[in-house]
Amino acid sequence: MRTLSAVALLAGAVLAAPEGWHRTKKEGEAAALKSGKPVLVVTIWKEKV
Amino acid sequence: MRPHEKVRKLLPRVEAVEWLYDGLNGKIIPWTLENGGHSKDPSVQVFLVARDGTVFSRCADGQAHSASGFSGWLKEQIARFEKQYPRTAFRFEAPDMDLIDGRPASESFMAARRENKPILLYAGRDSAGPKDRKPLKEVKASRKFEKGTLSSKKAAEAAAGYVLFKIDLADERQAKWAKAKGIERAPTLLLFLPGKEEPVDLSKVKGASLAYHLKKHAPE
Repeated sequence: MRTLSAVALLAGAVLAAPEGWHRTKKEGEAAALKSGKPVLVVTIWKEKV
Repeated sequence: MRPHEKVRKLLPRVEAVEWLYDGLNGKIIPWTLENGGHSKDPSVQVFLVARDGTVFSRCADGQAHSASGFSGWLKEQIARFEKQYPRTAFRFEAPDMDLIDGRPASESFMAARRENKPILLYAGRDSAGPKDRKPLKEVKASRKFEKGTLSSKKAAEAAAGYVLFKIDLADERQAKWAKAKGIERAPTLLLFLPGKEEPVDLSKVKGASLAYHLKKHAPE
């Protein structure tokens, strides 16, 4: 149940801005090198459609 | 479903990654376990990671379960991160780094040289072991250099037209590549000019003076 709550909270953020999110940690790190921002990594399971 | 307002406001301050689990035998579950995770299942976990891939902070599972707990953690950790890793005005990129005959080589660096583009190469150090005295000093000196010289907006503007590369001497392969270029310590800032073999060492130059040097050699 707790896991489901977390999924709901974080998936909300994910689903609301999918365009701006990187798809891999490596991609995020490359972008961070350029922007100087930290990388927020959310590990999540999604069923393949 | 909409993200919580407090979380949404913080997202522009990070590079957000949605890292989809690659199965129970994939590489992501072991990575979470190595970095403070406790679950062997593909559960939602949240980390703040530095540009060199090291985990800066992991959100406790309990905190990730409420909007206020999660946004509070994120806000606090971003502030802590920004203090430790000040953003530079320069927008560096990492040069690719492959092994050729056992030696590190960078095609993107060589391509820029072949195309006669001026290159500004910054060698910093992002991390060090707790007992590595010299590397720890270099980490501190790199942060100071980034907060000072590399935060000069004038200098960054003067670097328009330059290829900007940043390497991390904490990375073994990059350090080996740097050593072949005569770079032995961080921070080091080198300017590679078209047609000239030897780089200009700008490591001791301050922000305003750096702008002058970059303008002087700027491509037309």
